[in-house]
Amino acid sequence: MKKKSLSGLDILYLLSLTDDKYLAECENYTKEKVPFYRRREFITAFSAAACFALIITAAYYTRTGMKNSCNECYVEPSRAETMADTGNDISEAVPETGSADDYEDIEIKESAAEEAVPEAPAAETEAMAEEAAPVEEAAPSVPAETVPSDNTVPEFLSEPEVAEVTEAEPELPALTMNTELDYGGGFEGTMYLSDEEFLDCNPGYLPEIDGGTLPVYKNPHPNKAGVPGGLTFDEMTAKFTGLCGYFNVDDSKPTLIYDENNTLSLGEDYVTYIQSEGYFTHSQSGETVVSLSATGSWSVFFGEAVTPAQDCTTPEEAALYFADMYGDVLSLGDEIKVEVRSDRNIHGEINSSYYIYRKSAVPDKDELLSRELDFAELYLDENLSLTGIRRTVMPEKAEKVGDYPIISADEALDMLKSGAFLTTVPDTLGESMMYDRDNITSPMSVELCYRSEAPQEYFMPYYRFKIKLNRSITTDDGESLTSYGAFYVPAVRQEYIENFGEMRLYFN
Amino acid sequence: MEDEDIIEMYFSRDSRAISETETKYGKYCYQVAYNILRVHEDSEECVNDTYMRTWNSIPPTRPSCFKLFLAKITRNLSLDRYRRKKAQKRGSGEVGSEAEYMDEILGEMNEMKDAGFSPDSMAGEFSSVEDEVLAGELREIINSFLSELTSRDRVAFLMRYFWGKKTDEIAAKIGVKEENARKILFRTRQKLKVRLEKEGYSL
Repeated sequence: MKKKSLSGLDILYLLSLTDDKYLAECENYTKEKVPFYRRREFITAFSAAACFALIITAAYYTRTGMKNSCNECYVEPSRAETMADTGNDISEAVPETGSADDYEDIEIKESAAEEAVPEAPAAETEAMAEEAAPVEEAAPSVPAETVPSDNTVPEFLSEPEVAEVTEAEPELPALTMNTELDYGGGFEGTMYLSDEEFLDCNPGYLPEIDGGTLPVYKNPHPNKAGVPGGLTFDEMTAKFTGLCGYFNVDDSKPTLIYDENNTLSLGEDYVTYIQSEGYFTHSQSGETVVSLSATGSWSVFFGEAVTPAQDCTTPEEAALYFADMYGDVLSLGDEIKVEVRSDRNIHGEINSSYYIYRKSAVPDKDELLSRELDFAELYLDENLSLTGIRRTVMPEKAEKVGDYPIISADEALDMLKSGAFLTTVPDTLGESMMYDRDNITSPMSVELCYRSEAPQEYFMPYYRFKIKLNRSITTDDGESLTSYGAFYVPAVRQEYIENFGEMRLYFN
Repeated sequence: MEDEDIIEMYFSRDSRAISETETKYGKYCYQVAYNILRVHEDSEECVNDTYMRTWNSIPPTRPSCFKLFLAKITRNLSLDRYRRKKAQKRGSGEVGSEAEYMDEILGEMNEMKDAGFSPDSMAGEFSSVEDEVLAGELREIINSFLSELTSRDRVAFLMRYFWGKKTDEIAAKIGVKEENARKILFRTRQKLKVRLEKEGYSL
């Protein structure tokens, strides 16, 4: 049968014939950890120690032996001579260190470690050589002159790049979680009439995270007390001025002047800078109130609700309308997603909040970051008029620490069930057990999120599980409300979290 | 709904099979298409075509892994579309930014000569006995080649050239620096080249 010529595209089509097991492997692959005793650093150190011990021993026996046999003419050898005489035997002092596979990710260079590795069987040696050698040696030899230059070889296969492959150094700094949870004396939970209602209101959120990493940011003002480390006073002044001008809190664009008490005058209104909280708030005459935090987050509450100029029949429509109307100041782009979050209060009344954030075609990393760290909450009244906006931004001065590998939701669930989680939910309330810490039942929902409240040193991703609690209250109307509590499992792989082990120690 | 149930719906010619497929794997298929095409509308159309192709393929095919079955169909349809668009743009002298990404990810593919492998033949629908035998042989070659790679190199290679992932994502997945991920890919491509030539295929 005639063999055919293959183009680069042919080869890509050809890959569709790949066995499913190899494709599934891509999803399940996790880099195997090399045990410490097989790491290069350990082998090097071990070999050096063995070498040193051998030198000392050899020197001792050389000296005593010579002294015994020829005591009268003994001359103490120099250190260099001793090393030269004994170095060849070093490998005998080193134990077996494993098969070729164990070295898959270890860069082996000319070093004491290389010399110290004992002879492996031929096949293993070959495999090791292939892994360890520079690429130009490891790659099959195809002389350059045999490659036609008329594009018959796909460039796909002919990139002229050769070099040694080395393992990535662990460059990501270790993180710490805030394990001291504070939820204003209560616990983080929501109430619903039934599981069905819960599921309607909590569909979960697991965006697709390409690359399996998510960014972590350093919080510039992790402490609530003291002068915050967000925007400077001057930066806040500039931003606040802009907001006041935008929302027309004064007939003319105000000029802010602050005195030695950090009180800003704004026409007849006044603005107070609460230094301890890094907070500007403007108030006067019961009209529109603008506030700004040193984080860069701000809010505006209107003296008179803003009515949509066009008919909006649902809160979602109204939210999109106002997102467009205030698009300039919200800066969330054109593609907006509206998310309604609802739960019931102790009277059984539904409370709904309307969140807007950047929408991706498919929920992904960008959408997640906007949903969690860069979003706005719109306050709508029963007439679908806008009464206020609360715009939350990740602190503008937060610096990205790095992109950290994250675990899957399934892995997080395993951790949850093993008791490795953070929660403000007390396991008992009064005499009744809210949940059994050592026997967590299946969660009702899971979502990927960032815990971004002020005390966090790092803004890092977590999986938030909602679990049905053994707690219900009866409303005035005799309806029974069940509580669902929030449980957090860090999404960043545990090897990057210094105080990971503290999780089992802290709970309310 | 379990995959087996959806497949049974295809076998019983129940049109709800398509909506169930869309519900369960619509986003997944979209991502597969988008990784290649990088254009929202094109990706959506490819996903819709995937449903039709699946409807026409099951029965008689009974996929062992429904998810990957869909991925392969989506991927091939996306490559078809990419190829067509590129040919059109070449004809008109236009170069699209989305094609640039594909060019990069596929390693600056050479001019698309007609090598006799129709996309459909690679998708598992063979036009002749000869093609079928040839495809069977190629299937054996490619899987034998993959089996000889280390797990790390195999994952890197398939993430790049099957799934269309970026090199930084691959590097993060396999735990090496991005530069080294590129080198691993290069080395693996060289091995594949030699393997195909050894089997008598000219490149």
